[in-house]
Amino acid sequence: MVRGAALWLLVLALPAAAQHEHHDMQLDAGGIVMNANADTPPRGCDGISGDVSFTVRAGRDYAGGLPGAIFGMSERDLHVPPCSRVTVEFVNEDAVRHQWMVHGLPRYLYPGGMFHLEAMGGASVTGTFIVPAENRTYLVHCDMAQHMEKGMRAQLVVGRGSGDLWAVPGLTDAYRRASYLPGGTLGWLAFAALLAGGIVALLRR
Amino acid sequence: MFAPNHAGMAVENLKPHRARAALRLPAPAIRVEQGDRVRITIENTHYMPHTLHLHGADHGFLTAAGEGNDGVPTTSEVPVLPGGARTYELEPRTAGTMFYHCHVQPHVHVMMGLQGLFVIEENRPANPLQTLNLGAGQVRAPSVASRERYAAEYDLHYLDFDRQLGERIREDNDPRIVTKSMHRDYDVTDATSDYFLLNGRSFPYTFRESLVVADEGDTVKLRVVNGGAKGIALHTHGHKFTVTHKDGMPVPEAARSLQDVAWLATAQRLDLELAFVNDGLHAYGPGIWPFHDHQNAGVTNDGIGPGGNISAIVYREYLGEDGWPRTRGVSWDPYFTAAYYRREVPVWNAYLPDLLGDPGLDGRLLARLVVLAAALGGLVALALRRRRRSAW
Repeated sequence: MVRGAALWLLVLALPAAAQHEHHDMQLDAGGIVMNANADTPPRGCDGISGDVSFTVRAGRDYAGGLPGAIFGMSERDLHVPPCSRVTVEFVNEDAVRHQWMVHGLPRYLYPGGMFHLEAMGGASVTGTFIVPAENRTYLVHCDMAQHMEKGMRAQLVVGRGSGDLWAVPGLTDAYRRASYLPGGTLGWLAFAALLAGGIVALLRR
Repeated sequence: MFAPNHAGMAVENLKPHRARAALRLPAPAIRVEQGDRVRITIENTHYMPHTLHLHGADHGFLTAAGEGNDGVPTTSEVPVLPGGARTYELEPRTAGTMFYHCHVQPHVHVMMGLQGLFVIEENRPANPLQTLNLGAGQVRAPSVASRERYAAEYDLHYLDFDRQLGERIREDNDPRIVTKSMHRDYDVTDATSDYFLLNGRSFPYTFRESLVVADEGDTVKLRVVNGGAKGIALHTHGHKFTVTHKDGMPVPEAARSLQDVAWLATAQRLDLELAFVNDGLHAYGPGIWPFHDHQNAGVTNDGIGPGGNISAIVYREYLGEDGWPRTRGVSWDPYFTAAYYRREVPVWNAYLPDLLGDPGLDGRLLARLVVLAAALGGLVALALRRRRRSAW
C-alpha cells in the first residue's frame, strides 16, 4: 500500500517537473487548477467588468450526436464580455481524467498562456480567471492524447470574438469533409469534368 | 495511451506536438512481489475499447467480486470502453518474468505496442521494488533476490512494427473510419514488419538507452521478452550466456548450457545470465560487444542497416563520460540523419567516397540524348508534313 502511494506521487511529479514555465498549480485528489487568477485584470482592462459562471460537464455521454466524437463537453461555444471574471465548474462524468484548458491568454499573467482545469474520473474542479480586453476567440480543449481530436474541442468567445474556430463539434465543419464522400468520388468528378469538356469541344467543331 | 496516469499535458506543446518523456511505447515494465495482493486499474483514456491480459502471471478467471479478470472479450468480459475503468486482481504464487497486453483485437492492438513486461519478484523481507521501469533498460532498484546474485539487472523488450498498420491511425481523424481501417481493411495475414525496436527505440537510439554496462568479473541478469510478431534469434558478441528461466520458469541445472544464440518465439520470455569472466567461454575480454536479432531484417530500419534492435554489452572502461560508448569504427553522424534512412547516403560514403560514393549524373550524355530526341521528333514531324502535302 505504501508503495502504491509512493508510485502515485512519483507519476504525478513526473510531468510537473518537466514543465518549462513555472505554473501556479493547486492540486488535490480531485484534480488541478492551474494559473487561477481572481484578482489581477489583464493590461487594457479598467478593473473587472463583471462575473460570469459556467458549468461544463465532460465525458463520453456528451459525445452522442456529434459525428466522429468519442468524448465530449456539454458547453462548446462560451461567450463572455471583455475583462470579465470567469468561473468554470468542470464536472467529469467519466472514470478517466479530463481537462478544460484555454490557450492564448497573455503570458505575463498566465504562464504558458494557459488556464487549465483538470478533473480526475468522477470528480469536479472549479477555477476562476479574468479574460483580456480584446475581442478574441480562444481555443478550449482537453489535452489528454487524442481527446481534442475526438470531440473535446470548444471555443471561448470574448466580446465579439475573432471568428469561429474550425472543427468545433456541433458548431463548425469537420477538418476533413472528404472522408464522408463515397470512395473514389473525386476521381469520378474529375472524369465527369473531362468528359463534359470533351463533348463541348466536339460539338463546337 | 501507453503511459501511466499522470497530470498535465500529454505533449510538450501544442506545436510541434511532441510527446512528453513519460509517454512511452511499449508500456512500462511492472514489478510486483510474489504473494502480494495486487490490484491494477486500467483507465481507458483511448478512443477504442481495451482490456488488460496478464500473460503467464498467476491470476484467477474472475475477481473476488465475480467480474472478468482474464482480459479476453471473447471469453471473460466486455472490454473497458472509452472513458471507463476496470480493476484487475492477482495474488501471484509463482515468481518469474511474465508479460501483459491488451486482448481486444490482439492481432492489431498488441502489434501496436499495448504490451509490457510483468515481473513477479521472489518474496523476500525488506524488498524494495522498482514498480515501474519506464522505457525498460536498466533496473535501477533490483530486488533482494536479484542483488544476491547479480551486479545489475536489465529489462529488454523487443518489438517489431508494420508501418502500414501504424500509419492507419494518422490517415483520418474520425474514429469510425480509423477503427474500420485498422480492424477491417488491414489484413494481418499479409503483413510484413518494417521497424525493429528494443525498449521502444531503434538503432542508433538503442545505444543511448539500452546498453548493458558492467565491469569485468560482474554477473548480470537480462530479462528478455519478444513482443513482436516474428521470432528473434538473439545473439551476443564476445559472450556466451546461460538461459536460467523460460517463460518465468527455471530451467533445470542439467539442461543449462552456454550459448550465443537464443530463439524467442512471439510472447516468449527468457532470463539470461551473463558472466563477464574472460575465460574463453563466458566472455572474451573487455570491449564494446553488440547484441542483436541475428535474423537479417531485425538489424535494419525499414531495410537500411545498421538499424533495428542492435545494442551492445559495454565494459565500463569503454564508456565515455557522456554515457556513450567510445567506439572505434566509422563516424556515426550519418545514422542520426533522416537522409541515411531515406536511402540517399551511399553505404560506404564515410570512408571510400571517391570509389564507392554517389556515381553522380552524366550531364553531357543527358543533354545529347535530349538533343537527339528533339531532332528525331523534328524529323518525324517533317516526314508527316511532306506525306500530308503529297496526299493533297
